Amino acid sequence: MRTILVITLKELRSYFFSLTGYVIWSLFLLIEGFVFWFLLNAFSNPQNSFNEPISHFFFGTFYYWFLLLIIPPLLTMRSLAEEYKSGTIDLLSSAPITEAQIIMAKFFAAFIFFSFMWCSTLFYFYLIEPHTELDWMRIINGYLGTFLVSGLFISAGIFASSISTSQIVSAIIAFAFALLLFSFGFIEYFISSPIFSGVLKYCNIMDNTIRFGQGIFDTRPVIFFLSLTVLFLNMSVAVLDSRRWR
Amino acid sequence: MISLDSVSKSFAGEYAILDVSFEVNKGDILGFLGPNGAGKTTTMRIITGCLAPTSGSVTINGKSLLKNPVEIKRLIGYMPENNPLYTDLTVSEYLRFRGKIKEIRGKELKKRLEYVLSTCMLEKVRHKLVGTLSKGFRQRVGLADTLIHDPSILVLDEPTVGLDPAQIKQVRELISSIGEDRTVILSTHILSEVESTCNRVVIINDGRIQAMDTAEHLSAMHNAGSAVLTLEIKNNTGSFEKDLKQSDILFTVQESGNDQNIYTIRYTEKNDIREHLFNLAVKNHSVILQMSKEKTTLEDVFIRLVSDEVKEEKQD
Repeated sequence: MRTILVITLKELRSYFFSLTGYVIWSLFLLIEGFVFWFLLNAFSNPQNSFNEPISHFFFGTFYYWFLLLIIPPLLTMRSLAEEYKSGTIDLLSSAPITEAQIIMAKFFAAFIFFSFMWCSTLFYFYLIEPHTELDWMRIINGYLGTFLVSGLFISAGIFASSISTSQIVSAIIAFAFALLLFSFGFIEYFISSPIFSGVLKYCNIMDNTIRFGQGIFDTRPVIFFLSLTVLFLNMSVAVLDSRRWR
Repeated sequence: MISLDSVSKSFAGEYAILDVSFEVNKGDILGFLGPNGAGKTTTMRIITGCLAPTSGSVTINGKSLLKNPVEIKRLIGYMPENNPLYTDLTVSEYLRFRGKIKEIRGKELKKRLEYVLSTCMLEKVRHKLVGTLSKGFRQRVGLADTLIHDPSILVLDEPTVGLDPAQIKQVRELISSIGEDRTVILSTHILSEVESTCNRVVIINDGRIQAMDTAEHLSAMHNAGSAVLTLEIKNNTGSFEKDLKQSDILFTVQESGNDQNIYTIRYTEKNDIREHLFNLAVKNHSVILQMSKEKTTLEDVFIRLVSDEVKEEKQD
């Protein structure tokens, strides 16, 4: 566990001390700021009526999903691909640590950095708090859902990074995975069979997350997201381990 | 003790190393010698657990590397080829990170850090980013990294590549001093490095071991009884050269001046002709200014071994 912590801290350090980290964070805040401003304008117009204002901030806009699909690949693309390319992976492979520890540390670092980015949007709620009544439980639930989806896309990104030596290629693969996961559930709309559509509905990421925004805490999506995340991390460990045998 | 037993490794069906077996004992500094692409790096990556062999086994201190990877990796300090480092950390941050993942913590880490910084002469640059260091310093950071957890085995893949002569000397001295109470395996394609630092040599070519012994033994063994003399003569009247021809001595003229000639003379060790040459000089009133016998170097052995292999392949 301590080894994971040591590597996680080192990885986090390179996120916080690198220009890339701040460029990504700035892009994120720019878009989220725009969404916040846009929604605030829409909500304050008396002609519009909204039932669930919070759910719009979290899962209701195109931009929210754009950020979730685009940022995890940018954060994870260098995590293993760069180690392969520069040869530093041998420094880790020859140290008394396991492949699983390496993967977990890489995952935690990207996840914690992304979570920091999301947490910086708490400032928006702080801004509007004096002017309106906020349902903090609902907001926390919204963040929880966001963290779960982020975790899944980051684990997919780590897996993509583990199979390529090029950062660009791994970012593209990670984006493709995220897009595939995101759109998989939509097949439901084209299938008439009730059994299949039931299964597909369960896999619909958007459906699963909307409920978090509505303040409903459901264990099914939690299990769905966590199990897929673990699956991707396990596959990454297998890929890293298999490199020794190739 | 490290022991490799018929270790082979293939990449996409082609063997990088084939049937490699050798043993290294405590206190040995083993030079791993071979041309580029001979399989040195592959062998070293297998010993350090970065690669798994296709067949064969590696045992270190009597334990199988495949079965106890984490335990064995604690004993090994490895400097990979091209000395990869995390360039966005300062020297002391880097070494502290490496120490921590090698399970050295707290006071012990502090002590080891100071020790490796002073042993590898890195105190001056401890707060500098690794990425901004010159090649010589980076190489020393790599060496410090291998030493931070006080390993009993050091595996160094071309530790002096790309350094200037003064730095090469420093690194060699460093390796000799830290290798006194450890097992060291170092690979190189520079022969003088092996001659000056190693007490045992393994010559590998095309993935197979060609020879394995001490440097002196290898030179002696492959001497094949032939010797080369350099002879410098003054007062050369021309009759000396005639006498050489008459005595059936193989010679070539290296340099010829007004009055002075330098010859290269080949003969078999069994039939020492030095005395005969002396007598010839006396007879012709010539003065011997220099008569020196050249030693067969490891370089000759190496080139012979490697080129023999090439010849055999051509014949096949």
